[in-house]
Amino acid sequence: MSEKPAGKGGKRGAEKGIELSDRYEVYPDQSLPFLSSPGCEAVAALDKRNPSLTMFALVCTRELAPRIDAIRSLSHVESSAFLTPRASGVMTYAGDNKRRFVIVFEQPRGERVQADPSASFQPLSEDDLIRGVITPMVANLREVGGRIMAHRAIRADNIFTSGGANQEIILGECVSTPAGYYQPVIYEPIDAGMATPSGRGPGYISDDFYALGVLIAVLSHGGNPVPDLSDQEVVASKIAVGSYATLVGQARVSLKLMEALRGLLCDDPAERWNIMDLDLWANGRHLSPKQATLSAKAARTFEFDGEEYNTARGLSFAMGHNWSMAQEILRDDALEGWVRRSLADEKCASSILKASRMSRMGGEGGGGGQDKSVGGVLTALDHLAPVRYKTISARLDGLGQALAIDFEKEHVPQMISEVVRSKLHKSWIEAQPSMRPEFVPWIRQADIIEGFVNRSRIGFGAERALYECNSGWPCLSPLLKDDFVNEGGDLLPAIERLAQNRIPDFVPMDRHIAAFCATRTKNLSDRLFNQLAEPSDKLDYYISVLRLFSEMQRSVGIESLPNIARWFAKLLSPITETYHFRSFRQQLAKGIDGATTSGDLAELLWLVDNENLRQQDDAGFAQAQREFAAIAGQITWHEEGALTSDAHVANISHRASAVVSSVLASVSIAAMSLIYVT
Amino acid sequence: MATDTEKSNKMTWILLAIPTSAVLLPTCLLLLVLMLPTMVAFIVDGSRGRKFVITVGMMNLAGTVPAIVDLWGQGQTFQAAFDGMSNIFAWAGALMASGVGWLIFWVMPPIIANYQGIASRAQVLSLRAKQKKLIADWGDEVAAVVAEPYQQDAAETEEEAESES
Repeated sequence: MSEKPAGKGGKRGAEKGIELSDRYEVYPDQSLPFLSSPGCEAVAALDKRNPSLTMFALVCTRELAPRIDAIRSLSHVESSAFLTPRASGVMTYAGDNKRRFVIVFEQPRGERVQADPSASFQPLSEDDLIRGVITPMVANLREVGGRIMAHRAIRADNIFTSGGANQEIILGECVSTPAGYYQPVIYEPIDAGMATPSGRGPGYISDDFYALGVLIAVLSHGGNPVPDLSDQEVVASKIAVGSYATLVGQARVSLKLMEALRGLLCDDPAERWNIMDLDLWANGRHLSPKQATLSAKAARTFEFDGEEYNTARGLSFAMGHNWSMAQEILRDDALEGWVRRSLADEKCASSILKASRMSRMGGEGGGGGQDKSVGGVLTALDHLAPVRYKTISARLDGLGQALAIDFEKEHVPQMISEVVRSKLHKSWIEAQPSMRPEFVPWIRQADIIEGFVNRSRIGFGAERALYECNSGWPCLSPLLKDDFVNEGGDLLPAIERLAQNRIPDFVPMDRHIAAFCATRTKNLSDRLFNQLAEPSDKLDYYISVLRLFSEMQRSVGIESLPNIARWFAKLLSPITETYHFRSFRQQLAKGIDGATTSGDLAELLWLVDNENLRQQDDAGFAQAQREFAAIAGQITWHEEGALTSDAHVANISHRASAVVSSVLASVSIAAMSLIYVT
Repeated sequence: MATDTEKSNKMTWILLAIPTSAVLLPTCLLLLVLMLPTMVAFIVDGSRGRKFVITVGMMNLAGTVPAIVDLWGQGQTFQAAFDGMSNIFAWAGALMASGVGWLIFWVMPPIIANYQGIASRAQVLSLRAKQKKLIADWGDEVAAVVAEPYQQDAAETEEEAESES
C-alpha cells in the first residue's frame, strides 16, 4: 500500500503523520497504551476523509506477524460491536527508518472491560450479560464464522464497553498477532490449552464458542474464576473434571445462563454449542444442559512422577510435560498392562505395546526412536490432545504456525521436521475415531512440511515449509530485520532500499530470502534454486542470485532497480577481469555501467553471464597465445643468428653474386652490341 | 639421381649443339679458349647450384664478346679465330671480365652478412612490437606460453643444408 510522509494536518497537526492508503495518517509519536494489544503498540491515527472519527493504529512486529488473510476478510465487517480493521500496510518510521506493518482501527468509545487478564472488576448481571455481551457476540461470531475463520481472541481484556446507553460490548481486534497466541489458557479448549501458544493454530469457530463460554464465566465472576491455578493446573483440572466444573464450579449461576455455559464449555467440540444453538437459546428455546463428557476412569491408578493418575488423558498430559520420565515408563510393559487391565482399552494397549517395543529397540540405537515412541504413546493415550514431541506441542492445524513463530528458537525447526518425518501427524490422524473434513488441509500442510524439510538445499528446507504453510508471514531474513516484507512483489524493493545509502559487501541472499522467493513469486523454476545450491565458485553464486532476482523483476514487473544493479555490479566487478581481451573488458565495463543506470537486472545478467562472449574470448585468447608463442620462436630464431649464420649468408651471397653477375653481363653485352651495331 | 626426362633434355641439347658447333666451329673454338677461366671455376666449384660458375661464367662471356664480334667481322674463319686466340686484348678482356666475376663472388658475403644482421635486428624489433600489442590486448597471461621452435620453408632449409655440405 502506498505511503508518504504527510504534513501537519487534522487534529493531530502538532506532529508529523505518516500517510497510509491515501486516507489515513498514523502518528508513531503519539502512543495510546490503553488501546495496545499484547505484542503490539497502539498509536494515534487520523481518517483524513472523516476527521471527526478517532482512529488508532496497532504497530505489528515481524516475529509475531499479523494475520494478513484475516485482515482482508474482516475489513468488510460492518458491525458496531466489532473492531473492524479499516486499513493496513507497511510504513516507514521517521525516527529509526524501520518499516513496520500497521493496522488502523476506529477507537472504541468505551474502555476495556478488564484492564488485564488478572484484573478484577464488577461482575455483570445476567441481564447485562445476555443483552450487552451475548447478543452482540452472537452477531460477531456469525460474521466471523461466515468467513470460514475463527476470531481466537475472545477474552475479557479484549472487549470494550461501547460508551453508549445500551451498554453493549465491542469485540476487540484479533488480527495483529497470530491466532490464539496471546489467549490465556483458561479461554482455550483443552487441546489448545495443552498446546504451546505457538502451536494453537488458527483454530475453528468452535474454539470461539468455547472462549465465549469462558468470557461469560469471567464476566459473571468479575475476573478470572481460577486465579490461583497455573496454566498446567487449569488444563489438568479441565481434563479431570471438565471445563464447566473447573471454570464455573459451584458458583451461583441462573439456570438459563448455566444452560448456555454448559453448552459453550462442552469439552467435545462436536457437542459444543454452535451459532444455531445460541440463536435458539437467545430466542427463548430451552435446550437440555450438556453434561460434561469425562474420560473413562481406571479401576486402579497409575503412578507417574510421584502422582497417581486414573485417566489416560490425565496421564498423557502429565507425561507430555516430563518427556524423559515418559521415556523411562516405556522401558517396561507396565503402562500397557495398566491400560489393558484397568482401562480395558485393547486398541490403546496394543498401540502402547507396539510403541514400547519400538522404544526399547530405538533405545539401543539412539534417542530418535524413543522420542517417536513417546509421541505415539501420548497420542494413543489421548487422541484429542495435540501432537507432542519433546518440547513441541501443537494441534495439527498449528504445526505450520508453530514453525513460523518459533523458527528462531533453537531446535524447533529441527523438532518439527522430526515430527513430520516420524509421521506422528499421521499417527494422530489414525488415532482419531473418524476422519473429519477439516483435517484435510492440515494433513496437506503437514505433507508440505515433510516434503520440504527433507530437501535441505537453499530454497527448500524448513524455511520453505514456513512460507508455504503461512501465506502472510513476512520474510524472516536477518537482512530484512528492519523491514516488513510479506509479499513477493515487495522483496526486491526492500532489497533496493538496503542499498540506498551504501552498497553492502555481502550478497543479498540467504535461506529465508530464497525460500520466500520460491513461495511468493509466481513462475519461478526450480532450476534457479538448483543453480543457487550448487555454485562452482563465489562469482557463480552471485550470478545465480542475480539470475533469480532478474526473473523476479520480470515476473513482478518492476522496471528499474538501480541500487540492486549497482550492488551486483560491485559484487561482480571481478568478472570483467576474467575476460582476457581488453576490448571485451572495456565493452563489459561500459555495458555494466549502462545496465546499472537503467536498473535492468536482466541486461546486467546478460552482460556478466554471456556464454557467447566468453567463448569468443577463450578462443581469441588461445589464438593469441599461439601467435605469441610463434613470435617468441621467431625472435629466438633471429637472436640465435639464424639469418647471419655462415651457411645462410653464403647461400644468400652466392645467389646474389650469380644474379648481380648475370645482370652486369647482360647489360655489358647489350651495351657492346649497341656500340658495334651503330 | 637424374630422371628420364632430365636425360632426354640433355640428349636434346647435345644433338642441337653438335650441328651448331659444326656450323659455328671457329666461334666455338675461340669461345672454348677464351672461356678458360670459367672452366677453372667449374673445376673449383663443387656445389650443386654452381653459383660461382654462373657468376664467373656470365662475366667471362661478356668479356669474350669483343673478340667474337671481331671474328664475325673477319668472316668467321679459322685464321681469324686463331688470330683472336693470340690477341692480347681479347685475352685481357676475357680475363678481366672473369676477374670482375671473381670479385663479385668474393665481396658479396660480407655485404650480405651486414645486410642480414640489420634485417634480423629490424625483424626482432617488429616481432617484439607485435608481442607487446598482444600483451596489451590480452593481458600478461598471453605470454605464459613456451616459444614455438621456428622453422623456415622446408626447401630453403634443405638448400642451406646442401650449401653447407
